[in-house]
Amino acid sequence: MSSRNKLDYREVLIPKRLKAIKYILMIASGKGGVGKSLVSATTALILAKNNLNVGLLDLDFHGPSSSVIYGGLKMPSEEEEGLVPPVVEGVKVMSIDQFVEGRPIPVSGREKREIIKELLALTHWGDTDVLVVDMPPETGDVLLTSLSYLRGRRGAILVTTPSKLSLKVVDRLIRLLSETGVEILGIIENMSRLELQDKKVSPFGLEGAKELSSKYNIRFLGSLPIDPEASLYADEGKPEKLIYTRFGLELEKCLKKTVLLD
Amino acid sequence: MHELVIVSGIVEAVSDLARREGKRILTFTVAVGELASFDKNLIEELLNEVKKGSLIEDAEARIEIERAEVLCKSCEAIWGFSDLIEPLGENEREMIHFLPELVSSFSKCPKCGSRDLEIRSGRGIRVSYVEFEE
Ligand SMILES: Nc1ncnc2c1ncn2[C@@H]1O[C@H](COP(=O)(O)OP(=O)(O)O)[C@@H](O)[C@H]1O
Ligand SMILES: [Mg+2]
Ligand SMILES: [Zn+2]
Repeated sequence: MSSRNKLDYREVLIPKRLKAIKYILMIASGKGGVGKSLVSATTALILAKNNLNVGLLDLDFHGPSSSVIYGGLKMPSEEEEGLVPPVVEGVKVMSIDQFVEGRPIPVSGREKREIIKELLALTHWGDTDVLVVDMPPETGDVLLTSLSYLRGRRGAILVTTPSKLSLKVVDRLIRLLSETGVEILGIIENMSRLELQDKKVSPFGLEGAKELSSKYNIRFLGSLPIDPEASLYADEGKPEKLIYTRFGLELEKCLKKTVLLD
Repeated sequence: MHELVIVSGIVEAVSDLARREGKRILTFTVAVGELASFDKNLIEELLNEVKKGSLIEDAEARIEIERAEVLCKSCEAIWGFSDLIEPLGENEREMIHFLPELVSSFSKCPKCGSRDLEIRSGRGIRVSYVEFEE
């Protein structure tokens, strides 16, 4: 990583911004398409429902979807303190998508790092109990940059599907995070089974994520079903309904096993 | 107004530098990149306002405009402000004002249509020069 420019205003502003945040919860998966954004967006809603003051920062460049899930986000307002995120269902939400409104974001790694720094420096979260961060879906330098700026009391929840590929990427992610000293709160297995009437179908088997957890002595937080209802509410932008789906209720159980909700 | 936040950050960063070096700063230059369409006079006013009462109160703040230079990585043409930013609407310019890197979301290479654009210079605001007292 390039050395820090001490005259960069963002290096001064970011630590101050984060001081107002009690806990930074990073949701990471290493790759896209596993439900990381749906888990992030729903986690923020669940925490807010449990009376926490919550922010959601969407750094998922490949598919920033919190804007859709939250039913279309207004632009942050420009105040003296910086950019103040709009509040939806009690969650302060900041996403790159608020700026590009669904346009592609064809930027290189260096440019992504600039955008992340700028967003962290300019966003005025105010006093916040938990900032949920939908992390960049990769295991490279953009992820490392995010980790290096998101300092403070922090922990990560890792999301995987039962597929071998997803598990392999999360395996690599665990090793990377342990090198950077980020505490891993646990692993969530998403899209683990399909529930058809009384039948539960688990096309990829059930043991992968659990095995991975025990290999590294990390807590297995639970598994989330493939839930067409959750997917529908996400697409339609109905966050108020998301938390009461099977997906949402199971996710809440997972979160209750962590320091966030106990 | 996020300019105020940026300027406060700059004054603090320059003050920190003076403190670390244990030297007085005579002048410092702030380069304002064209891409983000900042108002140069506003930045200057804010700098003079914010540095009052700070460690660098007496340092002279200079402002320079940094020309935008954006390389198309497909056809290697180099473009400037008038090619990429001027044709855009107010709303789009506003987004690039916050996050200059989003230029590739809103503009394409005028010659080959590629969005594979790389900002060479003139993105946002940075301190380009600091002069210490000997
Ligand atoms: N458990 C689930 N049940 C049903 N649909 C899901 C589930 N998890 C994610 N999805 C859907 O799958 C798609 C990809 O999820 P997303 O959260 O965007 O993945 P990622 O952020 O990892 O790329 C989205 O349309 C999302 O709504
Ligand atoms: Mg996503
Ligand atoms: Zn071109």
